[in-house]
Amino acid sequence: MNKKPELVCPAGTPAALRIAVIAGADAVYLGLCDQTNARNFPGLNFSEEELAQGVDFAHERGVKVLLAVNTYAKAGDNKPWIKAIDIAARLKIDAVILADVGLLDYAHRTYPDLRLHLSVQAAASNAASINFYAKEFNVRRVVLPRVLSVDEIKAINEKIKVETEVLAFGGMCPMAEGHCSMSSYVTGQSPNKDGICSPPSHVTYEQLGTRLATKLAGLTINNFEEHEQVGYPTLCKGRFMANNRTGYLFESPTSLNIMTILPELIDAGVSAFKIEGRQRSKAYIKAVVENFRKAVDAAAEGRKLIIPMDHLYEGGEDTVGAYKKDWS
Amino acid sequence: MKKSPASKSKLSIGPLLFNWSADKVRDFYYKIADEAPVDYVYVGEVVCSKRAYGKDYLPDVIERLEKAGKTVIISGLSLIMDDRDAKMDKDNTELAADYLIEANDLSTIGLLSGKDHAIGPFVNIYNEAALNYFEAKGAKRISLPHELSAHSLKALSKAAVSSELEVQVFGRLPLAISARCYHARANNLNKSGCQYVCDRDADGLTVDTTDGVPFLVINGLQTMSYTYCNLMAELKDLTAMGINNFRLSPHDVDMVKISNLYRQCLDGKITASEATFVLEDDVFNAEFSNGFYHGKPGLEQVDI
Amino acid sequence: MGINLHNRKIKNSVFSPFFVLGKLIKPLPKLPIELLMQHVATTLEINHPNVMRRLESLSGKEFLICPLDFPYKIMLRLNHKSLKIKLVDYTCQVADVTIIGSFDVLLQMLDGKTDGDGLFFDRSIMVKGDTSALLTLRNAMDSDDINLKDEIIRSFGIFKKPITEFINLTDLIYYKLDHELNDLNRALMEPLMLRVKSVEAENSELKEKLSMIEKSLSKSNKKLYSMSRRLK
Repeated sequence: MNKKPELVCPAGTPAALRIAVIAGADAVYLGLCDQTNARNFPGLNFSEEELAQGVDFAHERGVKVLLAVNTYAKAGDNKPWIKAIDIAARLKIDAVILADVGLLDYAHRTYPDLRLHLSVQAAASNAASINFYAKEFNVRRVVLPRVLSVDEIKAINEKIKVETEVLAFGGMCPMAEGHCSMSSYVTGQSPNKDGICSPPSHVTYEQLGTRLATKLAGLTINNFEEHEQVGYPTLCKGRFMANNRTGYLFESPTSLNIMTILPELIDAGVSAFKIEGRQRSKAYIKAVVENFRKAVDAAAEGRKLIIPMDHLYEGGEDTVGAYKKDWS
Repeated sequence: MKKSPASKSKLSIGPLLFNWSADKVRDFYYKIADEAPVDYVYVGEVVCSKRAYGKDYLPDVIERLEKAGKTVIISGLSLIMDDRDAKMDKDNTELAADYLIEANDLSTIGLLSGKDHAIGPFVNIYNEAALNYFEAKGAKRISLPHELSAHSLKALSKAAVSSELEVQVFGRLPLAISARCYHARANNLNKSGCQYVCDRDADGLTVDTTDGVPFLVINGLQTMSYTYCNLMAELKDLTAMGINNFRLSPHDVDMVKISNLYRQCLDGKITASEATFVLEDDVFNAEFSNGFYHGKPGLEQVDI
Repeated sequence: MGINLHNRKIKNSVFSPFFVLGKLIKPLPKLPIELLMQHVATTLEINHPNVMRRLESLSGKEFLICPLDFPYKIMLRLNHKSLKIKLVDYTCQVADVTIIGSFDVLLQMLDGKTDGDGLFFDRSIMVKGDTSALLTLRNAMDSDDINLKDEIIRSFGIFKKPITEFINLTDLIYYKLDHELNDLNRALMEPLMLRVKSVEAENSELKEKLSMIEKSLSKSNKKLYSMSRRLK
């Protein structure tokens, strides 16, 4: 019998942390105000003091806190990353989410009791990789990249001993995470180095009559007609031309949502479900966490509960992505 | 063609990233073997395990390259998801006694641990700690990630203890890999019924913005830069920081001529601007870029 | 992709309680309204130092807030650790960031009751200008629990009680007005919505047909391909 899966929720700000905890998170994940985490957006994240307060608030209510230090430390200047891991150990964070082998090595050697999770940014997409991280750094849980089907996840879980966590709701990254430099190719800033993809500093919206053009570093990413839902100009969710056709070549503006296949994923041995969206508002966090709390509880009892969240989907659409084989 | 004995720097032909027909691949490597002034040649499938099906030219190619005095390195897949991928990679690592294997996934490094091996640009080595960690596991040649700037390359070169570092100096840059096949998708197909349509575009399928600005190309599961990386003018800098291995990524152009230009430039026989001038004028018409090296957006060309 | 008109409140409806409020205050001079808003802003400043810290990088930036159902635009200027509010004429255009939407929606966003991204995706709000500054403002405001009603009440110190009563009364009036104006909006919009619905239905029918044609096309494509392989 599987253990009841954990609901891991985003906390981009102290207020979002409180909302997520109250709305039913089993764990919240968050980052510090710098390039050490993969949601390095302006105005977001935690100072060391806010982090300490957040940990108290969560722990008093029996909720775990996971610190994401999931970018790759810079050569010649790894201090911010080392500092983040040291803070995690000092504040009794429940686990640190890492991707960089150098940092995994440091954390494992320096703080053998600190629980380590492997970030989705490491894109460990097969059992042998996962076993490597488990053996070398005593990684206890792996967040799987959004490229695997339910069957592949099941096959992986049969060959590994550590826990797996999957992305359940929110951003729909069609590329293997941690191996994408499309953003830095166009803007100079990347998820791996800078903790940011398609940075807002390079985004412009242009209203052209009834059409809204969204641009990134001057390149047109999309054109929305008046009747269409708008999407943020993330590079891989743009409308482009190839083979004389224009369309969503990589992925359409859409939200990942696995509510319909929660029981299958639990069956495949998944231990935790992660809601993406540290950059989203409190109102969003509240709605998504409350709904997923109900759905995960139902799924753990073998029931399928589907709560529509149309108004929260990017582009007004949702998808189960690569979890179903026909996506690829 | 003989290389200058004075120069420590070595040129390599990176793994062919595109899905060319067996005949075309064979001809390409034979020509490289016979005519290109390069020291290392990487072979093997990096992008998609489906492509390897039914292609049995590798033994011939390797034999020809070795006879010509090139060192052959076998590159592995950059995204390993299912049993077919895992098997292909495992088969590769069983050749480790005879060849240097280039790992592009952590699972491959696990299989090669303790044996001498190479690491490709798809393994994220961004800092000294990661570099030294992999060196301790037996990495002897490390081809660094493409988005690193000169600042990072310099720091890594300083920290390298037991490995030789390599940087790609020519060719389109791989930017992303997915479970989804974009070539199939662009042709209204899906991956399982892809009909191997990626064989239609020898240098990748161009992706334009709706304003008609070309900026990416797709190559099966892989997304690449539209611009061709060209670090001819940066070679001097790179060698000064102690990096001596330079990768030329194969394209459907005269790679022999291109290898000659880089070789001559490294040997100081022609200047970087002369070499680039010939490259642009004579070899083919392409947009070049060196932005990543200069800490700028990768698609930019910084004139130095 | 359907537009979800059916269960969505028309957020940008022109006839809102603020439209009525706007008509009522239009004859009043700008100054008292401006002072009142500045008072609220200063209260926010004092009560939420962490929010102000997050806004530090925006020093000097100007945000032009354009409520569609209000006679003025609101200019918010961030100086080092302070918020400055000015009411400007509806013709004013120049700012680092422009945010356009109904007053109600904008207030809900400030209160953290509604998701700004969602509002942007479904075009209930429109934004122009420096996206990074806008996002910083949004994230900073969202980083603490801001309840506008409580802030206003708190800000009036000893006059708390009468103010609370007044606000509760306006809340009630707002609710009633909102309800009735929604009826008016609905009466005006219903015929249009029906038309949209029928166009949508037609559209999705066409889409279905198109996808069937695409499927059969891809099937015959495959056949052709395998035939040509056999021929080879």
